[in-house]
Amino acid sequence: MGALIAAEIGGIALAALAGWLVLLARWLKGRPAAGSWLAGLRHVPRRYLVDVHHVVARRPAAARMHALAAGGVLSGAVMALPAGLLGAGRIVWALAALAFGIGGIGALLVWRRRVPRSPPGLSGGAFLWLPAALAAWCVGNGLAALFMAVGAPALPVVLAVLLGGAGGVGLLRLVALGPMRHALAGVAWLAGHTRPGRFTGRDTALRPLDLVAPRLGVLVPADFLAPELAGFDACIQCGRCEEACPAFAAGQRLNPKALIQTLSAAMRVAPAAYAGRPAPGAPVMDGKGGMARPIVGNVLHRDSLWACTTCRACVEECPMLIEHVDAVVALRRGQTLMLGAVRDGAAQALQASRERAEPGGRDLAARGDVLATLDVPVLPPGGETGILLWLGEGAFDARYGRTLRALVTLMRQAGLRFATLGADEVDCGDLARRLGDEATFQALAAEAIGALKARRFAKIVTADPHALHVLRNEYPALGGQWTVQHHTGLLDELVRDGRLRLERRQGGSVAYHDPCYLGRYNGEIDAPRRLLDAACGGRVEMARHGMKAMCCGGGGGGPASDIDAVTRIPDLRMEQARAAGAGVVAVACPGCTAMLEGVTGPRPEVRDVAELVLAAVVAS
Amino acid sequence: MRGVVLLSGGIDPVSGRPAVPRGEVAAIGLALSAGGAVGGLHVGEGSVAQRQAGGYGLERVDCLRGGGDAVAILAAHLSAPPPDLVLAGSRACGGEDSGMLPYLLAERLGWPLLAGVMAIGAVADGWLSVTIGLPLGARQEARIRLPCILCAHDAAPAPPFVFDRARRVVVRTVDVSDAPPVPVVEGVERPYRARPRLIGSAGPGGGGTVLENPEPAEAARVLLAHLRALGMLGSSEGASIDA
Amino acid sequence: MTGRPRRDPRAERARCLVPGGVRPRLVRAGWDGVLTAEAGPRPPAVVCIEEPAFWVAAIVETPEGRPDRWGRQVLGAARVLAGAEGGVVALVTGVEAGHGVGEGGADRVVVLDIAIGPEAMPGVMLAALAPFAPRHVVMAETPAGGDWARRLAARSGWSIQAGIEMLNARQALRPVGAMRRERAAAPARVLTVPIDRVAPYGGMRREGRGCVPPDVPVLEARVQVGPVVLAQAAEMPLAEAPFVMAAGQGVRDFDSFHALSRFLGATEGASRVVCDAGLMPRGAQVGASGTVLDARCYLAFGIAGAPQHLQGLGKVEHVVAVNTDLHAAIVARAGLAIIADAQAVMPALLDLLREEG
Ligand SMILES: Cc1cc2nc3c(=O)[nH]c(=O)nc-3n(C[C@H](O)[C@H](O)[C@H](O)COP(=O)(O)OP(=O)(O)OC[C@H]3O[C@@H](n4cnc5c(N)ncnc54)[C@H](O)[C@@H]3O)c2cc1C
Ligand code: SF4
Ligand code: SF4
Repeated sequence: MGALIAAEIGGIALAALAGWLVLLARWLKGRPAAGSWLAGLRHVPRRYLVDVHHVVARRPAAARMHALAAGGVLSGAVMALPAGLLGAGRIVWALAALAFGIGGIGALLVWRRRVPRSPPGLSGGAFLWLPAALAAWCVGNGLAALFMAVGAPALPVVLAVLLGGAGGVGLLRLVALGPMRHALAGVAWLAGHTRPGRFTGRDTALRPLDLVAPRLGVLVPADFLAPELAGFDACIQCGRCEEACPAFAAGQRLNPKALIQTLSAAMRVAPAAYAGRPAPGAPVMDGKGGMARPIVGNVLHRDSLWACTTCRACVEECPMLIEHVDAVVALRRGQTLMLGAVRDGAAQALQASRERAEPGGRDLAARGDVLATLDVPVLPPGGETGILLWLGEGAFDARYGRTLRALVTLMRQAGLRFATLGADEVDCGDLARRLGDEATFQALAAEAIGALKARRFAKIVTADPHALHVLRNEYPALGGQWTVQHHTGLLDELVRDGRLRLERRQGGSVAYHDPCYLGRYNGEIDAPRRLLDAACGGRVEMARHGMKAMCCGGGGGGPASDIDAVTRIPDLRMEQARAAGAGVVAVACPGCTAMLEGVTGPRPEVRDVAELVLAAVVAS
Repeated sequence: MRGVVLLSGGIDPVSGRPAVPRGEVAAIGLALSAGGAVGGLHVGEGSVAQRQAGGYGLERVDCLRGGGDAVAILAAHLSAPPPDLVLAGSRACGGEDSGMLPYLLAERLGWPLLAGVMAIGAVADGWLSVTIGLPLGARQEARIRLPCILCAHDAAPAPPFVFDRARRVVVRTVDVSDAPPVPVVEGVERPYRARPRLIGSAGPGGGGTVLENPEPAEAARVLLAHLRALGMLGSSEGASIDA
Repeated sequence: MTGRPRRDPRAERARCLVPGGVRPRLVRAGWDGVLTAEAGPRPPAVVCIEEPAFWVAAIVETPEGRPDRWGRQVLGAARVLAGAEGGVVALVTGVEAGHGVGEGGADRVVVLDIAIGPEAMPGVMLAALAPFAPRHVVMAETPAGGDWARRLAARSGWSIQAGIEMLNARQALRPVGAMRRERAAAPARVLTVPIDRVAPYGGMRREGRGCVPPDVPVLEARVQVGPVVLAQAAEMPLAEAPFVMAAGQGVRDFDSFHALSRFLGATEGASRVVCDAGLMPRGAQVGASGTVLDARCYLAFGIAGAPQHLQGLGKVEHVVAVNTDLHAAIVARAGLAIIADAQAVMPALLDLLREEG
């Protein structure tokens, strides 16, 4: 009888292995990734149990469900299989029965997730069969083990094995249909994760593209890296990404979950049906999939691609650690570099970046005009200073000029020695890179790195988190390595050192809006809050803040691409500030300033942290 | 149809960096819309701007290296064998910028020329139909005998820039025999200084009149009088620049 | 043949008749004395010059019968070059051409047939100019004027300075090298002037004596141009429209708005918020992420004038705003601002327009 159980479980396991090899063969049609996939396998347990669990555990109910179901299903099988093969005592069978029993409770919890009411972010369809298949597997095999433990006659064991086997077949079928695919694909994805740096720290920089490669970016599924393809298959359709996505919330044609599912389906000629929420308002894209068939315009709507603000909120939430932004940028690179198929506004910004080294098309010599009254020195090539102040694109905006003037005034008061690059400051290339124009990015980066290398300074300070991210995290791969600090970090340091003394101003309550490129991209969420606590009374938090903050809509070339929406992202964010009772929204980024200042009607005031600090500073 | 697009030095007016002038991008677009092979022709050493022109759809750019009169060099190069169509922008960017080159070339080749071309239509009996763009959205249909020279309207649709094309364009340097030199342009050259346009062409009543909370009828009267005074109402040519 | 051309009294007289009538509109002083015989005021003083030391030619487009602002500036430029010694001959093209040219500074006037195609134009101009052997020929840098100037220069081999920005009798200044440099040089034989660069002639009226136009040579035409099709305001590309009327969030009554734009012959625009809300098509969006206008007049209803919106008004000469908020940024940019409810002003304006028919 033990042999029968072993044959059943072993057969299902072998079939699962075969299925995994079939999937692997498909993923391997993608481009080879750097580093060994096989070698990555040894990291899988740790990555699953620590990193994945860390994300899953943000929702305890889901974590419980997953631990019980996955733990029961696997540990029961792991015990029963050798027990059946080699023969074992009743205790082992009893333990196996217990494990399957736990799995059965897990199956119950899986069922409870969608009953009586299914949360809108979850998928239906084949997922509705998942609890039944899990239950059959656990109950059948659990009973079989139990019968073995109590020494029951053959017939009940056979019947139980049949039930368990049916459950196993069901689970295998659900691999093909999607719901169980994450179990197999997840292993491969975690082994070959394209951002291993995430497991030891932060890894958010885009990778440079080899501009002489025959195919730049992604046009067809086979252009993705092989592990990335496994990553798309690893999506469990939990919908956490879609709940976090600002573009989705604003009714733009983007749903990160649907995006990942589309990319998974794009690999297949006859994919299983997707039963989650689609991208809002997107027409059905029913083109044929296949490893060598175009993705955008065929199975994926163009707008999905350009609506993404690259805010990484989805990445932050994804329990499978999928890299949505990398996928979006890879697809954008294909559209931009290979086809020139970008939105009109973005095309203008890219042309200006190419021809004027400034996406707004303005004269580089005019960048410093906002500081004209403050007489900030310009550092000539070969010159030396303490801090190099990188002004960024915001300097061309009159409103943001106030922020920069506040910052410069504070730096003066603290007695810092600093200078700007003057007309030698080109755009850092952030916009071009997020829009997929890696060629223009690399050209701008080379020029900026050249200008910086020609001067000596202790560190770079910028009030623009996008520039911060590019200079700090993305230039090193291109040969430029400097200490780069955000202005809130610098001011925080000055206040803590006592070089600036603040006296708390009373006033309305202040809510801090975390810029994505400072928070999620760089993990800096405390310094601005410390400053605000020192400068203003009554700081409040919006429901979404810190690493979970919602984007203002200004990143990733969103404003340049200008995708149709139902509501505007900054309006949503401003509403959240209102809901938190804020009278002032504190910002720390020129993009956020522009987006939130663009919200019409009566609303909380928008002030940069530097402005609020300046208002609170007392002569020391 | 074989088209050739004339490429100038190509300098961006704001940044001074190499850039394909808007009119030449439009010319490439027109050439592509006419179908057939499209090459670029530049007198002088090739630069980044010529590569970028490839990004807009040129497969090949020939840079003619030789001293002397560019018109003579082009005319010599274009006569054997002549293309069907030569396209140019409204004026060059980065040199004399007078817009004379296509006209001189047409005169020298004895070809007809049309300027301000917005779109290219079909060819019938050796005649090419084109649409000419005039101010205020007005349009004019025209026909021109091939071979001919067309100057693109700056607002003619621009093809997208594709980096992949730009990196694959074949830029060929062709040594040509020197042409007789052109007389040097005299005068003093210096950095450009923006000068305000004539004033007094501004509208009526001076600027900044504010009318607070008038009766609607009163507001309507004032508005109408103001628009009239600006010449915005009345004739179909209310758009005239006669203030 | 030298000196001034012979007069053909019969042709001149024929030209003097108002179409369909017999009232002559020509008096001794030339075509400018549009005077009825008895009742009119005394003719103003006129400068007549018989044998100037040299001639300067101005080619003037008169789309509406008399030179417009630009045309008067072309004449002004010719006068600058002619100085006290020289005479100005104006070649005018257009319907009912010839009026106001003497006032503008022309001593002689030659009317060219408006139907002359671009290809024949240089030949016709050379023929018309031959008797005058002009030292300079000045034209407007309009699409047509710019085209003629270049054809003329190419045909004749004359030197040309296109798009001069400053002019006196001794030198002309024009941008070169992608507008990043400028060159001052002695005025060339052919010059073109952009709008509002050279002042119109402000001196005493000149004679503006009519001269016989040359015969139009018959060319083997290699270019055929059809009629000009004017664009309706509604379908005009926003970027080219001369008169744009735009709606912001302060507009709720879109029926009145659309009716008004039809009545005024204005092209419709909108602020971004209005386009986002789907109340106006995306193509109507004015501003940094929409269209940058080249209009003469911008009539803004209920628009706050956010920086991104004002970026779209870069080249607009006249802004008119109707807004309930005196402190809206657009009010500061407007030549005329009416602080009132758009929903009240639009119907009132419609009523007024209907009343006036
Ligand atoms: C990156 C970015 C790019 C942008 N690009 C553009 C762009 O290209 N174009 C653009 O327009 N915007 C753009 N914006 C948006 C811009 O910031 C403003 O939000 C927008 O222009 C405001 O539109 P509005 O003036 O119609 O609305 P509001 O700001 O709401 O202004 C409405 C105005 O109407 C007045 N009003 C209200 N009721 C009445 C009434 N009954 N009668 C008369 N007046 C009334 C109010 O006093 C107010 O001044 C952009 C924003 C960002 C962040
Ligand atoms: S990065 Fe932000 S905008 Fe893009 S898909 Fe993810 S959540 Fe949505
Ligand atoms: S991509 Fe990640 S967060 Fe989104 S549905 Fe899939 S597993 Fe969940």
